[in-house]
Amino acid sequence: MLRAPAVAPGAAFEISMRFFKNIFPVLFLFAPLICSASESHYAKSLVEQARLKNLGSTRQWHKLLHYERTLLGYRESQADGASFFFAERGKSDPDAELASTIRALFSPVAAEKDDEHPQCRFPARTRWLREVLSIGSSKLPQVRCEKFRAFADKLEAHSATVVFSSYYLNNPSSAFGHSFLRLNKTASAHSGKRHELLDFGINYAAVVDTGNAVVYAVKGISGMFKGSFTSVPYYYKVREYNDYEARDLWEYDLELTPEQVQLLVAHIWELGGTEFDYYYFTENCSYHVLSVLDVANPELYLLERQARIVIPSDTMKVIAETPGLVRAVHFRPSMRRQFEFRLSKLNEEERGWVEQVIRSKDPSLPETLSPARQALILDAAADYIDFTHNKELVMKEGDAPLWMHRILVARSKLGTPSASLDIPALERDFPDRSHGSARIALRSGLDSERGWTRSLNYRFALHDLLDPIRGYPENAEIEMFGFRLSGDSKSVLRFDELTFSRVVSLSPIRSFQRKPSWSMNIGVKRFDDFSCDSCIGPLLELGGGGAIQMDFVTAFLLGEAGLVASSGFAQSKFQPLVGGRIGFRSVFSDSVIGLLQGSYRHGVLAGAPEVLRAEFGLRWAFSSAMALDLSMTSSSSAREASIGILYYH
Amino acid sequence: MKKLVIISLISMLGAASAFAKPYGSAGCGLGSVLMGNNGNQVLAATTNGSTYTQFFGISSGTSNCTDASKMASVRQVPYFVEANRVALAGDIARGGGDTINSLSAMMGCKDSATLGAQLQGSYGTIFPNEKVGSDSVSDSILNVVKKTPALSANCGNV
Repeated sequence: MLRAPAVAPGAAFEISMRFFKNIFPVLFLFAPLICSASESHYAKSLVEQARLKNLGSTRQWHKLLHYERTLLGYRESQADGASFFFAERGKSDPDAELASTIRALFSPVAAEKDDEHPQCRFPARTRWLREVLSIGSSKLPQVRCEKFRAFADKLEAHSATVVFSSYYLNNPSSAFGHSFLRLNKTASAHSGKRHELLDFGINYAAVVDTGNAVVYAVKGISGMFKGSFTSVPYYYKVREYNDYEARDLWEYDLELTPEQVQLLVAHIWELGGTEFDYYYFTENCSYHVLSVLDVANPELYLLERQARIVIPSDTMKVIAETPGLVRAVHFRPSMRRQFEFRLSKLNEEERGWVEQVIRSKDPSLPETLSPARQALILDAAADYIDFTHNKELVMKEGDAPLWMHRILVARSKLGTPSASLDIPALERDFPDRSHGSARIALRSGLDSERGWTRSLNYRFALHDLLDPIRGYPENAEIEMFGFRLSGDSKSVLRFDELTFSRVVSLSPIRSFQRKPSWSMNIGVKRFDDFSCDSCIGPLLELGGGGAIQMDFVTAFLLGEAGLVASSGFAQSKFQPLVGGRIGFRSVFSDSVIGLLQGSYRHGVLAGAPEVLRAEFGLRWAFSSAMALDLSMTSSSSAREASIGILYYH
Repeated sequence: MKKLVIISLISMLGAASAFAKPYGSAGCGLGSVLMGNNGNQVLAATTNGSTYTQFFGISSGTSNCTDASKMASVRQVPYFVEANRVALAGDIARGGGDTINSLSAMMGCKDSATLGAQLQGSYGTIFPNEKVGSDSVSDSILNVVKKTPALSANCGNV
């Protein structure tokens, strides 16, 4: 019919369109005769159009189908449910999938079960294809899609917000934070009326089918859990994070057009019907927040700007650094923060009364206090009981429900309404202001045994006690997968240490907070203190103790016990150790931090060493991505001082 | 007169059904949802596709612990009360807060400050003891609104 050998696909399309336009009036006369065959002809012509326009290679199509490059370099859809694809090779062939999808849109409509029709299962693909192929609404088989319409109507989505719930070290799956989407019923989430509780959160999470910690870790990391998207009223999330787990919530309102929001809702419906392999470090909750936003607006390039290892705070940075994407950020403080804020508004005597009410479980307060002040005291006491007895209150067990009831009855009798809290969000707490999750450090130093040394330190995640504190929990250290190599005149580079996981959680004791501090370290290390020259072996250490805060200094004391092993040890391959450490960490400013630590290790078995070590570190983060540091170590075996340059990315 | 009796009987029946225990709201409390005791699905453990016959659409992470109607509807009140029980008690005692604003939206109230103040005054009726069930709490809240002239005029959905 048409020759188009040396013509570009776009031009060929133009020519064929002109041809059709000329022919159309003639065809129209024959319409009744060719009606029954016109559907499949039309579908075929659309498939051909799509092929000529190369739609299968467009960014939007790839985003809709979640085609991404695998580690091995080839492109494949990350969706793993067979029902997500119409073409047999759909998972790896975007063009075939596009052609099959077009044909599927024209499949016959079953009168009763039209929710299963491709147009209803894939409203986002349908929407996009109708737009790029200019398919008139009368050309497609008519469908009602009642279930999708009910879903979209219930959501009433006018805008979207990304919600970040802050770090929760008690649970490994929440140790790095968590993020999810919220679809808002109002164009701007805070238009004076606070109704976000009734909005819907869209959450991607693993379907966990084991209670065994080791199995959980292995499956979570290797992609053996299936992940899926679910919708849940935002109030459940607020109750779970703010109240039950005492975590702050950060809400980043996004700038998306109404069409983009509609496409987002339609696409979420499509995703709900399939599953993805869940990978704790890569394709996790935060990854899919980005993947779904990239579908709503493919010009965002969110996934492209996100490193392979996906740490939730990094994804918040990618979002925050996208020009024009974030409209506003709102802070929803945890129950603990609300309590501390209420406490800060009370004078010393009143704080004493809060303690009294909590201890005696009796809300009676002296008449000398005005009803307004009594209300503040009771409000604080109620918050304290809420987050310290969260499980009892939620499960309605124990004595806490009764205490709470008594306090609330007394509070309600005072009559005055409590003022809304308006807790300011400090710049230093915003999750997107945090330093990069990975860090490389190069150091040069002088060692009393080794002479001039140089060392290289790389850490995949996340933050230690000397790193700039913006955006991270104030008194915690959490590191995963780090290694240290060093060299001197004798060896170019030798292995020093590998950290699988290291956590230090300091909870300064103050009135109303008596949590223990704890530490954990699992890794492989070179042992210099034993009488072998270079013993390398695994180590596991656990510690517990307490901390106190003195102005900008956190002082801590931890008792520690551990087990190290190496074939090079003289007496026994396994050496249990006990000891402890004392430390003083000074936060001179957000970016200048010092740490002085003394530690003692005693090998339990005969012949094992006693080690006393003192360490001093001072780090200055002079830019958002770089820092200088000075460290000095002194132990019975050696003394060392070094300066280093660090880069966070 | 007969007409009036019939009409009031019918409206009472209508009212009764609004107060009837909604299907599925038990087990939608935060405790059940977090601990996975609600027999259905849990926030993190929704199986999608394997046990469901549906293979389209997104499933609810809380097993449809909301009424089929829109969120800003009075039918959501019992579900909301069940899930937000602890926070709601706190906000009612304090005469205001996010949960009161949400109740206000669900009941179609023009002004949540009045709602907060009235509910605060009726705290003892709404929460007679610490063991009271969530159905009773939501019934009491709706009763207070219906019986208070300032509120029943203000709150369109009730």
